[in-house]
Amino acid sequence: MEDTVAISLTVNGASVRRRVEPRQSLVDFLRYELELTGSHVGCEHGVCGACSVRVDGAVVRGCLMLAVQCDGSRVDTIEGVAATGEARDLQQAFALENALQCGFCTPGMLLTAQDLLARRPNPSPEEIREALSGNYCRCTGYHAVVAAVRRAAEVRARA
Amino acid sequence: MSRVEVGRSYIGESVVRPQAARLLAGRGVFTDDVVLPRMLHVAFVRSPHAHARIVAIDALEATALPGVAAVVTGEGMASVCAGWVGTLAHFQGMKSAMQRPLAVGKASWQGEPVAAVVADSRALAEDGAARVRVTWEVLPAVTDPATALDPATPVIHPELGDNLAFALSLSSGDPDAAFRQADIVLSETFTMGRHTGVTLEARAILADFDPAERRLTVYHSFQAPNMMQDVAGEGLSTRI
Repeated sequence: MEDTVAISLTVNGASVRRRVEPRQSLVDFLRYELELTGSHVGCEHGVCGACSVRVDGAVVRGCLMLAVQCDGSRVDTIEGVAATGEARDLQQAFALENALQCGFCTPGMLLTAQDLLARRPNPSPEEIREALSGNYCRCTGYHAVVAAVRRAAEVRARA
Repeated sequence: MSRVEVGRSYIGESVVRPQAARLLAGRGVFTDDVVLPRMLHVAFVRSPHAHARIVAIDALEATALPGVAAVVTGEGMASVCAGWVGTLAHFQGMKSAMQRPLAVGKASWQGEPVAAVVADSRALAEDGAARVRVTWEVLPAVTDPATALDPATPVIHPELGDNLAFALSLSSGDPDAAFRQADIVLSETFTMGRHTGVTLEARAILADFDPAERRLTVYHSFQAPNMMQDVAGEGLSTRI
């Protein structure tokens, strides 16, 4: 019903060219057009953080950004981060601390925590809570998540 | 990552969940991640009123929209799917009105779906839902439990007789005598919020009917699939 717009971008290191409706959100584009279903849609209004992805290095809400805004950008999702292994120690820490239950919030938690550790290699529990305050978990709670991020920070400090 | 090992005692051990690895790699499969051939999406037109009669539903513009496969209303749905009564057998005397997938005749709560728009994508289904015009006759809403049983209060579901869903009275000993003999009697009214599950994964359902084998496969974000199998089987029993 709407005219489509051609965009070209880099997603998880690969070149992507598509025609998209101007109204399509980035997370819907990733999920429906590219079948990258690791980014999740929870609240659809920027509150829950389940759709967190990286655009040009910054963690953003995939539901609050349009796909057309990412023309020329580099987008990284949980699938790409898992493939490169850049957060392997963080993923391992989440597993060891059992910092997930249903796993729906987990990709967003990982991307946000990875961003925090890049800026603050040795964050306090309070800083971790503040950084993750925009990522909702509705089953496990946050203690194990904070412990997992602390564990990953300690592993990186020793590396 | 750990696997269950035969012969190993797990008592007292902290064991990493075998499912954690794929969830941490973005490879979990949630309901909305499942894609089936010829899959369609549905959006619902919902009642903006807590209590209102459905005078008319005009779906012509929605039906004509490219990409819209069907617009279904309450009467059409009732011809293929029976309603469901959500009572618990161990609460004797509990009453609940029949819940139908789509309201028939009137809506009894704000947000009750009255029409379903089926389309090639969710966006198109929502485009269609925005084009369905419902004419309402607003009826008095009943929102206060304290006055719900007053004779002047309208009965929301006339077939139930009154607005009482369930009453349970428990008593032991002689509370009246205990109050009479007490040095101090405090009286207080307590209120509490509604409690319900609020999962981050939104409610989702995907159903695939194979008419050749008369088999219905349902993917559902729900914790008791056996209960839903029963509800779907009962509701659709005349069709499957």
